[in-house]
Order: sequence, then C-alpha cells, then structure tokens
Amino acid sequence: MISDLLEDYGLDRGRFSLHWVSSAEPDKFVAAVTETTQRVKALGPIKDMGVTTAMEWLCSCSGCEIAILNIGEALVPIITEALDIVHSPVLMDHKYFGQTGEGVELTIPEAVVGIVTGGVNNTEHEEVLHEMRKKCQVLIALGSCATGGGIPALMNGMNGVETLQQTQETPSTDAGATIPTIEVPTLLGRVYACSEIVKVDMELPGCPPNPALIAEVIVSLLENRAPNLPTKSVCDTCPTRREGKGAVTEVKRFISNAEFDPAQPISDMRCLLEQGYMCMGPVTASGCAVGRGAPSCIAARVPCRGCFGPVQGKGNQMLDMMNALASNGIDYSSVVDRRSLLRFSGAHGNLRPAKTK
Amino acid sequence: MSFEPKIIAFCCNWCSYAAADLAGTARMQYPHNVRIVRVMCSGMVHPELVMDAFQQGADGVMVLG
Amino acid sequence: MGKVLNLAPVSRIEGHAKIAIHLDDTGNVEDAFMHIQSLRGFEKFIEGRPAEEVPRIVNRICGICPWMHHTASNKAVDGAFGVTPTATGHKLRELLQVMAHINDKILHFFFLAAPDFVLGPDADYSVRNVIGVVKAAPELATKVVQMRQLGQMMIERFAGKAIHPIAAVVGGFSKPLLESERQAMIKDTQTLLDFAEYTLDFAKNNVFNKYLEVIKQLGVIKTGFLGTIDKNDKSFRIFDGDLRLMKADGTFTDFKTEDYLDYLGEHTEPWCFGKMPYAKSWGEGFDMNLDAPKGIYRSNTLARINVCDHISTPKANAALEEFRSVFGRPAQQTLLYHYARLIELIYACERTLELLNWDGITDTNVRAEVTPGAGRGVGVVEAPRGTLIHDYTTDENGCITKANLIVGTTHNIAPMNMSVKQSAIALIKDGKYDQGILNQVEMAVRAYDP
Repeated sequence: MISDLLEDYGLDRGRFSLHWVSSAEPDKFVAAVTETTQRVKALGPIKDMGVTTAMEWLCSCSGCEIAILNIGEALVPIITEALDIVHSPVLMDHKYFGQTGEGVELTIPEAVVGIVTGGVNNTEHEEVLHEMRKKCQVLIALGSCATGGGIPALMNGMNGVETLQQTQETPSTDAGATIPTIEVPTLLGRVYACSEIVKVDMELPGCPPNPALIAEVIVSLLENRAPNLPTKSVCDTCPTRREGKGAVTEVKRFISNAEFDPAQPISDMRCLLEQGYMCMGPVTASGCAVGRGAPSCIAARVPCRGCFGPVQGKGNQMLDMMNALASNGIDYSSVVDRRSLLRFSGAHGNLRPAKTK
Repeated sequence: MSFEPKIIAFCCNWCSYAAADLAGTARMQYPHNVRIVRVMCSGMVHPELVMDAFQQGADGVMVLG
Repeated sequence: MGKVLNLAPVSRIEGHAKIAIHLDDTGNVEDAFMHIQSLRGFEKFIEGRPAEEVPRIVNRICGICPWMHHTASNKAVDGAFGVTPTATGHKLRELLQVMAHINDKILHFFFLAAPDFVLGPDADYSVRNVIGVVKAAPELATKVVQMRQLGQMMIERFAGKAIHPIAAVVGGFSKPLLESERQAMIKDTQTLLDFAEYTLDFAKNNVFNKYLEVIKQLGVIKTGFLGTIDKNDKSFRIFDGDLRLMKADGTFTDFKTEDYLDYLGEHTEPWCFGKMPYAKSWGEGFDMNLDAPKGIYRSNTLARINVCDHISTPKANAALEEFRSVFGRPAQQTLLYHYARLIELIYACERTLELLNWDGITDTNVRAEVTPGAGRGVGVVEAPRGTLIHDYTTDENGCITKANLIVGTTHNIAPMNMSVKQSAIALIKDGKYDQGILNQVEMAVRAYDP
C-alpha cells in the first residue's frame, strides 16, 4: 500500500521496501541494505518540488541570463530548491525534438513559469515563443529586447531584409553571398517585442535588467503576490545636483567628460542635462538604481541612453525627450541622430524606415 | 562526488536489529548510507512514520522485520 | 532511406545553433552540420549613428563579452576620429577588459562545461547541468558563485555597468580610478588569482588527467591558428598587439591589425547565418574536408596559447610551459580549449594585478580631446571567443557610413562544423547512438565556447 501511495506523493515506489530478516541472519541484512542502497542511488536524489520553470532566449545576446547569474549567492537556493527548471538552453540540455533529435515537432515541457528574453526576428523565435505561451501558465518577458525590441530593433529603422542582404556584402565577405535559407529560420525583416506576438503576463525591462528586480519578480511569484517594481523615471532615482538649466540652449555629444570631482559622491556632481549633455533620464523608466544608490550609467559619470525603455508602457522616448528639451527652451535640432533615441524601444511600430526629404 | 543517498531503516528490536548487530560484530561490510532506527516491532511502523522520513529528507526507507 | 537527427538547441553554449547529423541507410554518418540560427544585422543598423555612441550599442552583440566589443569599438572610433587616448585611459580600458576575461572563464568552465566532466558525459540530461553540479559538489559550487560575483561586482562598482558597459569612451575613459578603489581591487584580484590557481589544479586532477583518452580523440581536427601577440616580444596579448596567423605545421606570419583584409576572408554557406572566416592569404581557398582542410584556422583560447612565444606573467607562463611539454605546439586537440582557457584565467588575474600596480593607473588625465570627423579606424582585441575586429568609416560629422565586424565566435564556425562531423563519425556506428553519445558531439562544440 505504501508503495502505491508514494507515487501519489510524487516519489518513486522503489524508494520503499519491506524485508524479513531474523536475528540470526546478518548476511540477509547486509544483502537487503546493499541492494536498497544501490536501488535508491540509481533513482537519484528526490527531485525538488520547486515551481516548474522554462526559460528561452530569442533575438538576444545572453546579457539577461548573465544578469540572472548576477543575483549572486541568493540564486543558489532559487535554482536548486525554489524553482525546478525543466527547460533552458543556456543551462541544461533539454532538446526541442527529443533527446536524440528524432522528433518532428518543437516541444517544450509544461511549466508554471516561463521566462523569455529577446525579441522576435525570425520564424524560429515565433515558433518557440508560441510554444512557451502554450506550455507556461505565467509568461514573463525579461529585458528590453523582450519588452520593446531592444538594440536589435534598430533594424526596424532600416529597410528590412533588403538591408540584411547588405550584411552579406562587406569587404571581407566572399563575393556573391546571399542570405542563407537552407535549414535556417526565415528572417522576418523586423524585430517584434514578445507582447506583439503573444499575450505576456509580466514585463521587466532593462538592458540588462537589474538582478535585484529579477529576484523580486521570482520571489513575488513564489509568494503569490504582486512584485514591487519601480514606476518612476531615472531622474527620480538620480542623486545628482539640480540647480536649473541655466544657460543651456543646445545639447552636446558625449565627446568630452562631464565635470565632477572623482573623490566626491555622485550627489556632488551637477545633473548631466544641466551640464548640457543629452541625457535620457527624464523619459526612461527607473530600475537600474535599485540597490546601487545611483542610476548605473550616471555612476560611471556617463549620461543615460534609455535602456529601460519608456517610463509608461506606451510612452515614446524620442517624442517625450524632444518635448522635454523644447519645453525647456533647448533647441531639439541640436540632437544628432535623434531617431537613435528609440534604440531601446524600436518595436511596437515605434521605429520605421525614415521618410527622407 | 557521486550521489550518496540517505536511507532510513526501521528495524525490529527482536529480529533485524539483532541481525544488524550481529553483522556489526562479525565485521561484515555494508553501505554506510543506512541510518538504523530501532523499533520494538516492525508492525508498529505506521505509514505516517515512513512519509515523515521522506519529508525530513530521506531518499529511501526500509522496514525490516 | 536514412534519417536526420536534429539536436536543437545546442545547449550550454552562448548562442543559437542546431546540429544536424545525417545518417545513411546503414545508420552511419553521411554528413553533419552545425547551423547558426541567428542573424541580427549590427553592421548595418549602426550606420548613421554618431560614432561615439557606437561602443555602447555594439556591446549588445554579446552579453557575455560586452567589454571586448566595447573596447574594440572604442579603438575603432579613436582611429576614425584620429584620436590617441591618454596613457591612463588606454590602461583603464585594458584593466576592465582583462577583468571581464576573469569572470568569463570562471563562468564557462564551471557553469557550462563542468557538468559534462563532473557528472559525466552520459549522465541524464536532467542532472547534467550546473544545478546538478551544485547538488553534487555544493561547497565548490558556492565558492564558484562567490568568486564570479566578486569579479562582477569589482567591475560594476567602478564602471557602473558590468554587463553592457558604458565607461570606456572615445579618447579614453569616463572617470579616473581612486586610490581607495585601486586598493580594494588589488585585494579582490589576489583572491581571484588564488582561486584561478586552485581551479587549474582542480581541472588537471579531475578533468584533464581523467579524460585524457577522450581529449586525444573527441573533435580532434588539424588546422591553423589566429591570435594576438605583443608587437615587440611576441608574447601573449589579449588587449592590443599584432595578429599572428599560424599554419598547422607551426610556421606563421605576423601582421598589423589594420591590414586584416589582406589576410582574412569570410566564406559563406547557404545553411548557416554565421560567416566562416578563413586564411585568404594562404591562397588555397576554403574547404572543410576533414583530411585536407583548406584555409581553415581556429581562434579563441587554444589558438592564443599556440601562437604566442611565451606569456609575460610568471604563473601563467609556467602553466604554458607545462602544457607545451605535454601537448606540444601547436596543440590540436579540441578539448584542450578548456585547459588553455584556465591558463588564460591565471594570466588575466596576473595582468589585472600588473595594471593595478602601474603608477599611472590612478592619474586623472583619463580622456584625450576629441573632435568628431571623417576617417577610418580598425579596433582589434581578443574576446574570450576569439579575435574581434571592428572596422568603421565615418563622415565629416563623425557618423558611421560603413562598418565591418568579424566577431570572435565566427572564426571557429568552420572548425566547429569539422569537429562535429569528426566526432559524429567516430561515435555513431551502424545506427547505434543514444543521448550520451550525442552529448559528446555537443561537447566538441562546447569546447569552443561559442
């Protein structure tokens, strides 16, 4: 009976056994113990009852995965106990077409939580994303590529596949090369955010996302509560000194270093916009500063370029920035290549090939 | 570095525990993975006791009468 | 009718690839491919961008080696704008790049490669991963996580961002290093150096000696090698120097990085998004034939260890001498990439200490004056995965008009295809294969750390 019930509890029946050994049969005792030990050894450790989790990466760079690792020591109990990772190309060897590659349909195991990094720029990404949606109860888009296209979505400002063909014509490439088509996915010519393709339950932007916030999202899911995520702009988390814009009428390129005393904390440095540099803090979602005391680029004394995407989901970083400059009497046309202010949010139709004059 | 399971063996005071004792005095080799719990009779090992052992981290459970 | 085994995704690597093994009617290998599944178009979409912004865009090519893209790109922009960075700015860039190498090597060896060796190539896939390693060796695993975190935080505290950095800038660096920061870094790096030495010993005892027979066979092919050497004493370099292209017989040619187009070409295949660089200057064309390859060379750790005359730091050099006494020069065994990687780990720690102990490192003159303008610049560094080349042309406004990139992994795409084929042919006979055997084919790829 116990053996039957064990399976109901998710344990292998071979983990329990009953033996009859009389007081004069030490050899029988040794045999029983040895046999049981070998059997249990073969069954391996009892699999964690963690929350099943599947991870996938699409049009991505693996920076988000490194950000997950940067959670540090706190990550060890998360991945060994709290979560039961059932699929993750970067960490483990579960295969789409069976472990010996004979299957025909791309399959990912069912999981409670699904984490996707990267946007979608080819048919394989589409297929994997649909499969993740089908198999995961809660789907999380992690990082700015998954939430808004990210840097690869700069491609959306070019001429799609026609432009990609030109990557086959660089000076070092042998003549006559065309975009590969055999046994590789078909390129879509655009980069899409995950939520343009499937329903996404939660988004955590950042390039890379902040490890502290990734941990918060995972822990909040385990505790069955809403995550505590920042909602304001980078400026709201920036300790630099603000005195008013003064005489600034144009913004300058970052070809000279900011003015600051390196021995003093960030709070002693004047706001980089007030120093005349293009800084996208006002139009960018905060998050990078959590646990660090200052926005991470500002900590390096470098202006923000908007890697967490717009402050509100539907915000538009280029439009909002131009608005912010113009309403402060700063010449918006002093921004060189203003379209690249959409470099982290080029999906959702924000960035298209420009109409040239 | 291979996996070494923890196995709980519930042994009857009158038979298998005595056998284990004898195995020990006769210096017979058996795996060190077992932790022996002496009970007055293997019949007193309630299923709850078995589940309790698993919940507390045992990888395998034996009942020896 | 034969069949095709599609191993997708290739796992515990850092990119998107698929292995396809074609079996004939008798169940033997007819052919095998590694298909690179991703194409993003960085060379094109940086066109039009102000060049000084590009080093903080192209780092997104790779989230594992963003520092190398960052520094190579900055060098290319320096060249296009005709700027020479200040001495301290130059050294700060090298410091951060070399520090980034430390973490990368710890990451690859323990998180991605170790499961095959610690748990065994044939272990079930559900345990043959870093989580399995943590359970099998919890103390070591915790130490590894701590060491990697120490390295990452050392970078982040000083440079703001460890992943997708911004602190290297055209003309030098965005901020100087304080004396207190330098002292803290010296202390941390010393800890990492101790761990690096421990790691090499651990690997020698538990991996290289134990798997010597596998090393001698798995994925072994015969190719040339490409790597960076010091301009003067021809020693091992990962940040700057000349390039050395070595043939399989050990003879070599050295050349200036900006002349790379005269020596290297990129072959393409219609079944692979990644291009396949080859040695154009050998004049023999391109062929992945296992017995008579043409134009094929390899890059990344084993290549660098093979091409250098010696290593300038003592502990790494001692390790190199020991390595050469056993495996010769050039060593061709693919799994030795792991060994070479750990020699580089020791170098990276020693070099970090050297740079931190240089008097000028805390100087405040970190950035030269910059005027955007027209020109061309080639920036080359050694990324963990191989020689990384950024080549930009700018207009009079300092915006990019043309870019050519050859990234580290691509040099090894042709060799990886060959290693896949070699190992598949050797391991799969008469229709006999299982997940353990197929994982060994992947191990031949994993050694290259693509």
